[in-house]
Amino acid sequence: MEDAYSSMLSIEVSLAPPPDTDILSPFSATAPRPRASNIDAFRAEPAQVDRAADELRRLGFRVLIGSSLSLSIEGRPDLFTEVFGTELEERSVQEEREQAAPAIPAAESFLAPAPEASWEPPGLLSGLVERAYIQRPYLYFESPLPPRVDYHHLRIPGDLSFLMNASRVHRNGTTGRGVKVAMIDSGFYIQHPYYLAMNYNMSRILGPGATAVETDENGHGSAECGNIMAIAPDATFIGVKSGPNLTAAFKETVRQNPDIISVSLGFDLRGSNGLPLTSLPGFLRALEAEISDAVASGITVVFSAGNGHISFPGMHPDIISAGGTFIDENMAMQASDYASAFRSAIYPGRSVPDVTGLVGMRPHATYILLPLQPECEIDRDVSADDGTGADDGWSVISGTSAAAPQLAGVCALLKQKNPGLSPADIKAVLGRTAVDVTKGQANEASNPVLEDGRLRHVPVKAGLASDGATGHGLVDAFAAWEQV
Amino acid sequence: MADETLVSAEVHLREPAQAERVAEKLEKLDLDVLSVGSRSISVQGSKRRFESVFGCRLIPSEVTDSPARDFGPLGGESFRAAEPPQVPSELRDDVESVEIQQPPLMF
Repeated sequence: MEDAYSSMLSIEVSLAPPPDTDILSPFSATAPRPRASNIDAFRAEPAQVDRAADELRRLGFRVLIGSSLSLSIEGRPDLFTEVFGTELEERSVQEEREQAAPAIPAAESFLAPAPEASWEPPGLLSGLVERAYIQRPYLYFESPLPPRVDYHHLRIPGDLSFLMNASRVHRNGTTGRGVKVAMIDSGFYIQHPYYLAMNYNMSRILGPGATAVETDENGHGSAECGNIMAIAPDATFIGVKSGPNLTAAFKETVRQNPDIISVSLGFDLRGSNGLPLTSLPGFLRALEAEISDAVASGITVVFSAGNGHISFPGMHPDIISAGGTFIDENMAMQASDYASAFRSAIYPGRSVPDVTGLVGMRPHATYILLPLQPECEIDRDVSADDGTGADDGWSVISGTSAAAPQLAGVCALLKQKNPGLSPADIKAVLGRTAVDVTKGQANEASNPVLEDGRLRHVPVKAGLASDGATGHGLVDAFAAWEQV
Repeated sequence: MADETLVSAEVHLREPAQAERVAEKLEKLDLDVLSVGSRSISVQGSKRRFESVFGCRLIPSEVTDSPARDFGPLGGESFRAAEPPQVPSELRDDVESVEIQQPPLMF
């Protein structure tokens, strides 16, 4: 790896005003600061600029560009020390910018003159050059504003809160305050400028077996938690970064004593023949029991229904299973063909989903513009499809991973208004007040059947009243809030 | 060379009241106890240690060809037991079964 001493220095060279002229020096304590109104007084003669450039080239520097005010040059650190007699030392960018605004430095360290280092330009340069400053790595300032993309998509918090009818709840003074919502996922980059600017009440912990709480290398959790805060902006959020053992993470999350748990993770219970498993695999039995225990203790648990997956815990009978509804730019509503809908072969009578949140359509469910850790896996991987940069800290994604935290946010609004609501009360009111979705179909991948000895995937369609594709329909936060 | 591939499992308890005692025994077997629940204990350890303690071979989990869409599994390599894990004799009175965990998918 290249270190600071082996890389080229970028140097700005100021020209020395000749003693017998009226040309001003920007370094003079008595001269005015350069402004548009007086800048001509600082300009060097063209001949001096040329002579300085020639001499710097002769000494071994590369002249990038010159003007009547300064020369931009490049050179190796040892050349700088040799020519100007200045000892250099390496400094850390991070140490020099504590308490600074969120930004990403172009380099981690840089070279600068050591304390009390001398400055002795050689004879031929001494009358031509006044100062030579090594340039420091510039900073990419992260923006709390998302990039613009030129297709129909939803922006947080406004579009989500409007379409889920949570804005009306907010206007009535209910914003999730005092309700603790926990989320288990890949990590939580809550230092994103968007989250900082929104001043949300967010924290995070490491789940068992997870490492590096401050990073989210994948980006999934950092993005999806934005859905919760869009719906319940004053909720107390706690992110639990999960290791590969979801059961362990779930147990740790319950210990945090949340009112609501939202999980956008799960397993695809499909056999090697492509058909749904008819019994729960042994490795999920502990998780099944822990979820039931959490719900029995009064915690409302929301899981994603899956994106064509035959999902568990999305089919667990005690949880709220979050499916998908898509709303287009004309406010037309249909079942998301990205989201799962199926009848569980493990739990008789269990239909997935219960209700829906907002989810995009196939092929990629590119729908909601969400913040994540710059240059994380999702930021890089989806940039080819979503029109955002690979390192800008924003991606347009969704899936039922977005729906679960949206519904968790609505649950938080209901719990604030009526803290005595049980998980069953909340599930029931979300269902009976949901907006019926009558068009479209869910992802057929979640409904495999064997017909005449051949595996087929049959889409579950939306229709009047409760249906398989969207359950009771799209959650209406205000309608539910009015009933609790 | 050290075997640094980590494996996680749920150790299912016969009686919830025995959880702390079982957790201590698991630690004595050189496994890391991640979390103690009412019905199971989450443990983690190297692949080699697991195979030694539970007397089973761990083989990479096969990837099922699924038409569903997701952001992939959370975590790295995953394993399944080639044969049912055996509960060590000192835990047999308290432990019903041991289940190797698979990483969840990010929907």
